[in-house]
Parts: sequence; C-alpha cells; structure tokens
Amino acid sequence: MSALPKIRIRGLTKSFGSKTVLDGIDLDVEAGTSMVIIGGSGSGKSVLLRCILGLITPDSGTIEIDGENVLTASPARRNALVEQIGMLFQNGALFDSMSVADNIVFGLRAKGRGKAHRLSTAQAREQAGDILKQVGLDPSVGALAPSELSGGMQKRVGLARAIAGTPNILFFDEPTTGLDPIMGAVIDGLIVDCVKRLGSTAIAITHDMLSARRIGDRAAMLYHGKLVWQGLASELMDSGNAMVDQFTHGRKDGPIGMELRR
Amino acid sequence: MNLILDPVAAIGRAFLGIVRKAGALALFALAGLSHLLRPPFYWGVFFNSLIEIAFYSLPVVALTAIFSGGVIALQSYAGFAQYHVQSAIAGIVVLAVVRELGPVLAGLMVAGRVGAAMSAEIGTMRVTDQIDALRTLSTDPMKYLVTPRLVAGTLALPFLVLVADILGVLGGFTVSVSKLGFDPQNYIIATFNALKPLDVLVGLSKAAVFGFIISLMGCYHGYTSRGGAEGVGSATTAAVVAASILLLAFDYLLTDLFFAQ
Repeated sequence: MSALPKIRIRGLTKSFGSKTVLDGIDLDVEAGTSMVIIGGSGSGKSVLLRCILGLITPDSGTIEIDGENVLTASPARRNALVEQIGMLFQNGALFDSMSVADNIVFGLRAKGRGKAHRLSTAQAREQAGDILKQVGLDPSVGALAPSELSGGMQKRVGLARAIAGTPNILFFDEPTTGLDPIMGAVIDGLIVDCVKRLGSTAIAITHDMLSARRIGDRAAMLYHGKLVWQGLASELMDSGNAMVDQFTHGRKDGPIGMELRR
Repeated sequence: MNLILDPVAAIGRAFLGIVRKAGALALFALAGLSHLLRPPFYWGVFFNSLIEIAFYSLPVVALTAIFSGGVIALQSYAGFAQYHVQSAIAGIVVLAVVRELGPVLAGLMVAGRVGAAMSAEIGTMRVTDQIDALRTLSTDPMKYLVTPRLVAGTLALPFLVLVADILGVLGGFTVSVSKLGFDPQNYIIATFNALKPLDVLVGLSKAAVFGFIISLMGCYHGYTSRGGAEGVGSATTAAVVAASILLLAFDYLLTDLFFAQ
C-alpha cells in the first residue's frame, strides 16, 4: 500500500432539504485496492459515488484524488482528475441512440483524448471488438442496439464502455442487481479481472453480499449517512458489528430493524 | 386579514415562479449557445438532428401547406366575390402564406413532431442515467445534447418554411385555377406582383426564431425532467405546449416589429 490513498474523503456531508444523506463521511481507498460499500436503500451509497464523480456537489468536506482536492480544483483540473474514473451504472446507462460498438467507441474516444482520439473509425471499431471480447462478448454483438441485449449483456457492455478508456479508478453501482446468480458471478469475475488487469482502484456499492466478498478487498457499511463499520471484505459475514451482521445475514431483528419500527 | 393577503400571496408566488422559470430558461439557452464558441462541436449529432427536423418533417409540413393554401383561396374567393375583387386572391394567398401561415403552421407542426421527440429522447436519457454517463465519459451534456440541436432547429425551420411557402402558394394556385376558374398565367403574374423580397425574408427570419424556440423547449424540458416515465411524459407535453404558445407570442411580436405601420 502506498502512503497516499488514491481516494481520500474527509468530513463529507450532503443534505437534500431537511434530509441528511451523507453525514461526515471519512473514507480512504488505497491505490490498487477494491472497496465495497454496503448499506440499505437510501443510505447514501449512490450519492457518495456521485459526489466523487462531480455529479452532485457536497455541502462540505473534501474529496481528494491522488492528494488533490477535487472540490476546490479549477474546472480544468477537476475534469482531468475525474477523467481517471470509469463508471458502470446500475442499469448500464448505455446510449440507446447508438449501437453497442458505438457506445464503446464513445468510451474509447472520450477518455484519454490524446491517442484514442486520433484513431480512425475502423481502428476504433476494431478496438471496440477487442474490448467486447475482454468482457466475454462476441465482437458481432457490436452491431446490435442496446435495447436488443439482455440485462447481463447490457452490464457487460456497460463494463466494456467503462474500461475502454483504461481508467485508473473504476466505480460500480450495484453491478449484479437484477441478474440471476450465475450471471452475477460472471459479472463479478469480469469486474475482478478488469480491475486487476488495469491495476485500477475500485469502489463498488452493492446489496449483494456474495458479490461484495467476490469483488472487494475492503468493505464499509453506510447507515443513515454515516460509515458505521470498515474492515476487510472477507470479514463481512463475521464482522462483530451488530448492524453489519444483521445486514449481511438479512436478519429481521436487530439495531436496524428496531430503528425502522420507531 | 387572510382573505386579503392569501390571494395576493398566491399571485406573488405564481409571479415569482414564472420569473424563476424564465430565468432558468434564459440561463439554459445562454449555456447552450456559449458552447458554440468553445470546441468541440459535435457535427454528428448536429447532422442527425438536422435530418430529423428538416427531412423527416417535410411530409407533414408539405401537406399542411398545400391544404392551407387551398383553403385560403376558397375562403378568400367566398368573401371577395361579394365585392367583385376576386383578382386580389392571388396576392392574399401569397402574402398570407409567406408572411404568416408558412412560418406558423410549419412551426406548430414541427413543435408537435420534433419538440416532443427531443424532449422525450433527452428526458429518457435523464431518467436512465445516460446524461450522468456522458459526464463520466468526460463529455459535457449541454455541449453534446443541447447545442447541436439548437443550431439544427434554427437552420432547419427556414428551409421547411421555404418549402411550405412554395407549396402553400401552389395549393392556392391549384384550387384557384382548377376550381375557381382563374387564368393560370394571370394568377402567377398577380402572385409575383404582390410578393416583395422582404416578405420572404421576414417569414424566414421568423422561422429561424421559431426553430430556436422549438429546440430550446424540447431540450430544456427533457433535460430538466424528473421522476421516471411519468416525468418524461409531462416534460414532453410541457415542451409542445410551451413551444406552441411562445411561437405564437413571438409571431405577434415579430409581425408587430416588421409589418406594423
């Protein structure tokens, strides 16, 4: 592990009206590791990722990438820092006005504009075919429209688009939601492969405990906008924290349930 | 006390809401236009939008113009025959079509067809995270989605109105000659005598403004839509209604500016 975390978050808060979604988050993600964030619906997981990506502006706190505060950086510098991040959205968020291949070419050209931007259309399409192979899809899938793909294939194409620009950081928003267990395992395997091959730092948010243990090196749990636990992902099922244990084992009774009944 | 203050407060709130909306719309338009000065410009999106607006709207605009020109000829004849001034019909048809009906009818047709489609497309992209995905792919959604459509709308409408002008006059000519017994040669001469280049230019200028308004409403309502399919549906309706009303309001203002004595 390097001394400087790849991503360092301190005192991050975000409220929507009277509802506090993030309440003083402190989180370090070391370079080359995968952090999994678990938590119930509405616990602030997606808002946290969107704050790091610059899609939502937090109320206070700092978000550092490679030691540089994204929130106070100049717009050009902020774009350069955020450009390192590739994102797999929960529903894939593929551009449905484009073919699968064009979605990947878009990812290829958008990031690292230097070399990829100069690729001819034929070269870019050939590279898109190679990237499709990396996520276990035949290059012929490139000719299809996103609406013609199954949920699992859409996730794979979303992953292909996210890794097309060889990002240093990868975010995964509930990557296995809506998939059958076998396809979930396939997607998790691809995510682990991609993260290792690219040497990227990853943050994944998920409800799926099996997926969390497969993807993550470390894990954290968000509850009511606070990080209530951090530890090794391998310890998720036996963390010793009552909230984490209740959540990971899906128990009806426990501190979280008692809060809900109030 | 409340009986007096409550209605005043309600009027005040509504007024502030309108001012807030107008401000947001103006800022949105400025943001969209400001990207014209900053590269890159997405030519692919621009040409696709241009084809969608200019080419695929041609049939509906053409049919509307032909029938409208024919109707004006018929209605004018019915009224003017009482005063034995049927010879003015060619001039009435061409001026009505070129100055008003061409731009307004083409604008309303395009607002219904293209404004709704733009709003639905961008709104769907909003609620399915595609706009956020653009941001994560280092692409400014305003630059990619809005600016090319604003330019395409502004350029496509004058072309459509030019077609509508020609076909509207043709519709009036066809009805006048085949049904009302006008001499074709005299009708054409009367048409050209009545028409001034300024009429065509003002009509096309109106069309450019209408095209900008239609694209702006489609993009704005789609971009700001919220709440899934229902939100996209509401945004689409709002885009068409707002574009139609603004189009007629600006038609009045521009007519007053150019033609009022």
